[in-house]
Amino acid sequence: MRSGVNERVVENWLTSADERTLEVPFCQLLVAEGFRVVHLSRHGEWEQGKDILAIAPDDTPCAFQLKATGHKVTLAEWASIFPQIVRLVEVEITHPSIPPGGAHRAILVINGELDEAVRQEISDRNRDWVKRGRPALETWVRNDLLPRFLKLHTNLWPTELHDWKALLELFLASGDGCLRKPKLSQLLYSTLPFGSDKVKGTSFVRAVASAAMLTSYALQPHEQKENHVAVIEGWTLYAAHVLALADCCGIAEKHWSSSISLAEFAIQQAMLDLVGEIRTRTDLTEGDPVTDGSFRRARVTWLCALLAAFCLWRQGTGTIDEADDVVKDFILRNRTKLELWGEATLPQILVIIWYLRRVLATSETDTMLATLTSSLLQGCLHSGDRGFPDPYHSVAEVSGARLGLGGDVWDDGVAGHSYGLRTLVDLLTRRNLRQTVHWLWPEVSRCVFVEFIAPQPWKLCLWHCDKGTVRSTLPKHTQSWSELQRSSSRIDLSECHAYSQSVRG
Amino acid sequence: MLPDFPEQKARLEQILLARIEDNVKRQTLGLPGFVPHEGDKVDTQHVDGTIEDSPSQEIRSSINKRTQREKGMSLSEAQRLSDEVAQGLAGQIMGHVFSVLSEATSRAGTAIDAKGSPFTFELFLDVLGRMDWDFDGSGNWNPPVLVMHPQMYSAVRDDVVQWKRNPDHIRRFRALLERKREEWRERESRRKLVD
Repeated sequence: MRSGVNERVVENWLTSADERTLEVPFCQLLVAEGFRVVHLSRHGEWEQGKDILAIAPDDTPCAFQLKATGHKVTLAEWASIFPQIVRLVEVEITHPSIPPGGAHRAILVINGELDEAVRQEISDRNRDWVKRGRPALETWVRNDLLPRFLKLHTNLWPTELHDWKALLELFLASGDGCLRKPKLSQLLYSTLPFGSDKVKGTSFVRAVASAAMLTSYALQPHEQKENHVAVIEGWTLYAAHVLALADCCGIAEKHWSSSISLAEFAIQQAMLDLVGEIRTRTDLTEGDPVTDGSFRRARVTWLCALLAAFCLWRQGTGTIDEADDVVKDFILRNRTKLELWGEATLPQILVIIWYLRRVLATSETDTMLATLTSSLLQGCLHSGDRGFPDPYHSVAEVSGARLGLGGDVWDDGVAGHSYGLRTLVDLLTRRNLRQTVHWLWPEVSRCVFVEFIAPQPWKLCLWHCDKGTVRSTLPKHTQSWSELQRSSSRIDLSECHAYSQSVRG
Repeated sequence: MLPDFPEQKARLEQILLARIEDNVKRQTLGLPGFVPHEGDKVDTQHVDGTIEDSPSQEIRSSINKRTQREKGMSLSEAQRLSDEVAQGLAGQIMGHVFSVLSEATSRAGTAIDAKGSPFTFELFLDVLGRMDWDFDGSGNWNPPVLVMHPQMYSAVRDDVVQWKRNPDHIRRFRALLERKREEWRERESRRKLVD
């Protein structure tokens, strides 16, 4: 019975996917089948009629055009896409990874079927193209794709009932809320072969390709609602699990780099879509405005943080275009509307500060850092016995609890305990803001720095670690500035994955 | 199966669990509880860099549902059972707390063994004198909680009333209060950044 459910999930997903959501999973399929993907284009942006360029296992360059119709393509529809097909077949591939002048395969990928008249038309055209020394057009339709996607999952479907429940819940979600990250993480962790000593290069590639498919199924409701933030989070979670598995099993970079690149591509696409939405929206209200007010500042903070991280990432790769102007304008307009609702916001506000440091030639960001630290101290020490919501609580949980909708995010907190305070003190010290630290230290010395130490660095890429140590560190009452400078300048990256270190710059 | 009401019963279970939590908190003197979300160990790094394990202890309380199945358990019976569970849990928590406190005070030299002698005002002052006292930002004393066995409390309750009326006791206590306030100010003045 369960294999029937497999097929229904994949078939349903495949049929209703659009070109954008099909692109990355299709590339994962290619990678698992031994292709090397060398180029992916943001849909509609490349003029050669080629969405994807890949090199087949026999070293033949392949150009793919994706068409997400979901139904049988009629002759009229064929006529409308024919100019792109001509470019796919007739225009030579121009790409640094592909030698010029060679023959290539031209493949039209459709998640529906072809009408008989269209098949006949393609046969006629192929005779002409071959006669003229051009490649014949190959077609991969739904009935070709479905068994290949299913084969990818062989032995890699969830085996436990609760994992199936998680998959179906994600797949059938409404898509307009926050992504249920613990659920997706549980699904990825239990289907990826963590703990197996038999994982080698090829089986690793298949496992992570299969996990990418599961991620696609889980994200489909959010894709359909154009819930870009959920999509960004989903692919980020996927990438983190791939890196964790690679480190856990000692897999070489050549086996994981393609999957990570594809996840990066999916994240970039969703980020650009988010930028596009920000540009066209007249306000930031979502859903019913009567009840939206309580969530608005948390949303603004979240958006500013994601967009800031995106721009910093792009700057690291040397990409700067009009999207950066949109983001800059958005963050500058909203930087006074940020909200520190719990310790989980600290990374968000920090990334905004780091971004602003690149675009503002003033000391405003140092003031923001000082205010952030002071506000955290206020929350930790002066919120009664309850402390401040720790970083394990999401914005949804904290907002719900504050509004009296159930849940108590303060039950597990203790006044003065903070997971993020030491980092903020280190940052203030690195900025040489001695007066600020001097002013704040009496309050800092009343707190307890808390950190989680994972038994192996790769476990920090997971959503949750059963093993590990929660360490509480008591700061000194009398603290030497020079000692603080020395300790804050020691940056230990040994706990970071090699990938994180490579994108750090 | 027979008709059931799982949603309502789950909600009722939540209410009873909340009652247990509240009772445990009350009976453990509102001791703050830090809940780690990950890992299997907790430790503390002191200012001198030494790391001390904080051994955790499993606390459990079982419910023996001696219910008459034909009648079911009434709400008041369920509440009474929840209160028993809370009392059992609180007793274990406080037992663990006193064991940790006893070890820590022995190590720090702040424990006093009265060797069976009565709880006098002198002993009371001696106990207080060995502790760091806590004051709020305005210098008002945040008195500690004194925990004693019910039998001992019955024995000293009348004496304590007398202590409060004795001018000499009041003078000695105020002198201690002032000394402790000065010590606190001195401690607080050490909370600073230096070269």
